[in-house]
Amino acid sequence: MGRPSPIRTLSTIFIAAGIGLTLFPLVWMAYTSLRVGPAQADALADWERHPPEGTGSDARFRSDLAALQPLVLTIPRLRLTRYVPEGATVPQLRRYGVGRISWTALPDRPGLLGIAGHRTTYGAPFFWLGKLQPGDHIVVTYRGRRFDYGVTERRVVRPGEADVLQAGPGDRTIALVTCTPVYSARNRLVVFGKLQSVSPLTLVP
Amino acid sequence: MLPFTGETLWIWPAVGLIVLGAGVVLRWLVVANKPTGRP
Repeated sequence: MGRPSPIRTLSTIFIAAGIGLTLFPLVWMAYTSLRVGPAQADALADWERHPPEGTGSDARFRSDLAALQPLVLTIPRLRLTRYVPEGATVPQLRRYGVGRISWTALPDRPGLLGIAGHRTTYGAPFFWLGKLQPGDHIVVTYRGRRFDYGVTERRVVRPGEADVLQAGPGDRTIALVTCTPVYSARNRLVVFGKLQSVSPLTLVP
Repeated sequence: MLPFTGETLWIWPAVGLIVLGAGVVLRWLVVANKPTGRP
């Protein structure tokens, strides 16, 4: 039995590399989701353990109020609940999948609240964001209150069009931002919502 | 700039299928050019 020809060896390498490259996105999506999962679960559990502002007596918790509090995003139609940390930087989004865009307004103040999230990797929290329709609810829990937004519109913009996150005077709105089309970072999909109601968060003893 | 929230993942299968296709063609050439008949 002779040695395999160089072309045969090369073809084997090409076939193996081709299969590896083709399957790489699946492996990458699974790997990044596994990384984000525990961080999200721990953060949500920690958030639930500590009562929101005004409902507890934990001194350590109260001292934390001086700093910006994280918020929790819930989208009932997508069955999505995510802890949203402060900042939508690349490292933050890689750790939690979502993040509040720091230069946007907080929920309890006038303006637009911007939340960015990954579309396909790092838990893919906003994979189905394009499914949201006008009238769907986006709920944000922040500082012991529930801010209920109604979806108003969806828009696809270029990454440089950050001015879409500027709110009109007196507006209290939300914008969820993710990449589009799926599996590409070419554009951004922005789903807008308008604040409909604010209610105190009811704690179950 | 709006935050970076995605990765250009489609490029990997696109390149992968080209490489895989090249490998299959090379393998076919090897098989097609293999000498046949009695030694």
